[in-house]
Amino acid sequence: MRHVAPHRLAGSLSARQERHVAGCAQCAASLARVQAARAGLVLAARSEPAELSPAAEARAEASIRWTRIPASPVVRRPFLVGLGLTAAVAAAVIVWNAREPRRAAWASTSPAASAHRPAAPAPRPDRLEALVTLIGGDVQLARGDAPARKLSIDTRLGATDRVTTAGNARAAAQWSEGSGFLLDGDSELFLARLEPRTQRLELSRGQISVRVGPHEPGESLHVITPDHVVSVHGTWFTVASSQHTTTVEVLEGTVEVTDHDGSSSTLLTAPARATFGRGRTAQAPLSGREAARLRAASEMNFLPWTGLDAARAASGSLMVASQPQAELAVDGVFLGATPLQLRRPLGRHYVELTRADFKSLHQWVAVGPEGGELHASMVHAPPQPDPESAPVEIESMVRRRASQIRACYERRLKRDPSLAGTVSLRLRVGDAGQVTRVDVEQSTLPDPLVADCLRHEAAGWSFAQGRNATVVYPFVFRTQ
Amino acid sequence: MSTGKLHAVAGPAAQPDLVARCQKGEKEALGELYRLYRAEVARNLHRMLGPGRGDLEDVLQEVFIEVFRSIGRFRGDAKITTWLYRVCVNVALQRLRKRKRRAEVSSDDVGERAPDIQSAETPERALDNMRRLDAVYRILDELSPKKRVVFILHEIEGREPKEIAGIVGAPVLTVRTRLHYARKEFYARAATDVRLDGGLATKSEVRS
Repeated sequence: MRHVAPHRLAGSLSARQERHVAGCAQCAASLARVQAARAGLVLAARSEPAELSPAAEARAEASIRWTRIPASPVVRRPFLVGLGLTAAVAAAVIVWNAREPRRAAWASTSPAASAHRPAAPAPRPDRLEALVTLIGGDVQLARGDAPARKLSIDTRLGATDRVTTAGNARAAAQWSEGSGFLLDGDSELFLARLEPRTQRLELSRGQISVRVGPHEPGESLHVITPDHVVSVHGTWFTVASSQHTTTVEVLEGTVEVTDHDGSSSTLLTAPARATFGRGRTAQAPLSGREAARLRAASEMNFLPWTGLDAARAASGSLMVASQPQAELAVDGVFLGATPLQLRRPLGRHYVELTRADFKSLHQWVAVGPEGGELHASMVHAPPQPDPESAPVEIESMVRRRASQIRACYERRLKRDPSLAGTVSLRLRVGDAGQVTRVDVEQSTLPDPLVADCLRHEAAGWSFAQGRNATVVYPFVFRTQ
Repeated sequence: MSTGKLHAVAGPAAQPDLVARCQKGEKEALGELYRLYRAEVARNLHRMLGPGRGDLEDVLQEVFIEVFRSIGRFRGDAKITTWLYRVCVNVALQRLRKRKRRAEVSSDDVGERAPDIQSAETPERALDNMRRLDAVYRILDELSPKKRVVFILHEIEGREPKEIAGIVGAPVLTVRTRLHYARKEFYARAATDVRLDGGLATKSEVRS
């Protein structure tokens, strides 16, 4: 191989090179690998993708529905940066689109386009109302010119309502199946439009999480901050606004963030976080842990939805307070710190209250049409070592299964005597202590079969201690 | 080497006004455009990103979101297929850069990939093909995204440097330079990559 560079071997060999390779084991091995790589390229050319899943088709349909075609494209901008519109046109499109989304597609004035224009304007859609599903802390509602009053769990929110939350407060509301918002503390939200086909939420300050469920064709949702417009392509995301900066975190789907002046537009696809300032953008992917934390923190306590009145009739309010304050989870979903007032479907619900150094409280609570209250006194107690909270006993398991683990490595060591490196496995431990999922977190071993073998080995483990946990464990392999 | 097939899709001869209708914002036309080209775009992305990487459908959606947003800027200078391919390559490049940052291709991908048994003679050969394909894409993962793209367009898709230059928006000379260094890097890595050992391939198969 000293005589011939590997990329030259990809072509045909000269007689001299063939003579050299015939007498050099290392060169022969390299040549075989290069030829294997060439064969791999042939395979790549023949390889076909799997059939698209129905979910992919549905997402494409959603993308088509949410697409706005710029009315008069004049400027070529860098890829994925600009809308290719002048500021004025962009502003017009945004405003026009928000007013009547179905019309945006007919913005062209050409005769061909006018053929598709309806003879009479579409009837103005009905107003939409949102059902409050969660209230924690001091949440104020201002409606019209009336003075602000405390938001109640029975209030129906509608267009032109303004909701303001105090420091540690939060409020959630739902307007259709899987669609609604959670307003965090120290925030102010104006429901500029709340209609079946158009929702426009103006966030003056603070943070809002928004989820959008199944849509009807032509439906649009925009979250407007003082500087940016966040438009939805079917998703779960949060928007935070402060000091001319808008932070958007996308948990599902895709959102589009546009400057108010239309000067730039960015598509964010989950999982992603981006901060938009005036003229600058910082974008970073969300890690799995961050996304999980964000999901947990932005649960909106949604109800099964067949319409507001039906959802209201099939649910009741529940007030949960505790002394001292504790974290509340209902039916396994974390909803925030007490006191919290929430709406749940009629029936029994599992309420959990937890606080560090206090005994956790687990209780079934019946929610009826007349509503209910739960006032709990938390009992101070040092943490109890129990299988639920005990760490997963991975060390002792690795010691017990050392010979099987070593065998995975030694089998491959026979093929490559210099094989050495580290394989980190991520084990998910289920509620009975059994391993429910194994992933290779990282591997520095060139031979992937060692990691495969370890995965199969670890998949059969069951721990006596440790429940519902995820453990990452590095296995270091080296020759003696 | 010219092992790949050209996968530029046929123009929408049956719907000559499709692009114009898309530019006017007709949702039905966007749907038609999607249905007409989704398979080819998926195939091109599949080659660019590698099989079994799990994110093909996400990237496909990104491509079409970008296509729908940018179709108004398509001026007809190039064929719609070339323009689509350019969008496809740009989105793939972005995804590759993101992957490089996040090293999101985990080591357990091999186990999740179904071997293409139908096209192979035996299950053993199918498994061997799968491993070899995986090794090739792992080497490609180590190339810079720009080098990877020109390498794939030339070595797998069989496109000429001039055509690649039009797709990636770079001078032909730059494409040739990138291709030279990409080939050099790819085969140097392949020569020392033990994952390519022990295959069932024969020299005759490789040289055919």
